[in-house]
Amino acid sequence: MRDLFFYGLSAALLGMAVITVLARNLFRAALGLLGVLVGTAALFLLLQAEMVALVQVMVYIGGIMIFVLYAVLLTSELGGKMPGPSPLKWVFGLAVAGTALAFLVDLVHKAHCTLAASLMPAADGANDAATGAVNAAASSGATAVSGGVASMHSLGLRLLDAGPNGFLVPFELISVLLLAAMVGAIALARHDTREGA
Amino acid sequence: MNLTACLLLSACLFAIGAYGLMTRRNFIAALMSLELMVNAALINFVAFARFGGGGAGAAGLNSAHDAEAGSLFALFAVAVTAAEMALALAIVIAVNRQRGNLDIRELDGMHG
Repeated sequence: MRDLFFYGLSAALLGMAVITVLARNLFRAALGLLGVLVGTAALFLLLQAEMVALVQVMVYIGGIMIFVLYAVLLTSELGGKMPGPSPLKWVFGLAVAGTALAFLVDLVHKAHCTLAASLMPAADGANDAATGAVNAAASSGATAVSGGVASMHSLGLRLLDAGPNGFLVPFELISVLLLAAMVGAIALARHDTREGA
Repeated sequence: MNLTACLLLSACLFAIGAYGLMTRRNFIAALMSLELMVNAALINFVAFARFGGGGAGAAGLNSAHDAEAGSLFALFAVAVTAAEMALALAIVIAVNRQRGNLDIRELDGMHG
């Protein structure tokens, strides 16, 4: 059942991605991207990363997609069609994408072969690792990780942990980055009335 | 559903995004393709956080599985992407105001 849902979701995700890339109408492409983002959030839920799924919905769908839709509506007419890529570009893009895909699939295949040998004993030894003193999560005092699932509670504790395994400094730095981006975006998009240029 | 399936899905998503980035001529459409590629990377982060995949040293000391760090990595990536998209769309609006169209081939003002 889970597998069935995963493969259906993957097919929908890839179909939406193709719409995003190929649609001649910019608004339709934006809606395709919206579908991809919703599908990714569902995939995160399936992978039991509910915090990432929530942030995906709030930041991507609630923030970035609204940005993109505003930009589309501000800059182009709604029913307008974009010209398609020239044949040369089409072939070039296909070659680049094909090369990237072949490289990545080859990499995943190689990793799969080496993992298949080493992951089985590792899965058995997961309990030993969890009880071991070297477990990073255990040494930071956070709640123990069970089966690769991070609860929202432990994520929050980890984010505000100033210890060696905590993420307090990156957390504060990212807020400074977001503030700087906000100021920069306003400065860039502001209509400057002082100069006539 | 396992790690390999997730990685293959994200590889396909990345390739589709790369194709879009190469062929799109509209600024916003190119940005949307970029978002697809970022999403592929996010899927990788979360899949590795979920399934581990300590690699060759899976039983070694440094490979203690840390699902929280994987999720937090994805969260930080989302935040950085949000900052990036805010700036990019501000540039889109500024360019559109100045030039009236968003064809990236015509954005050669810094070409010298």
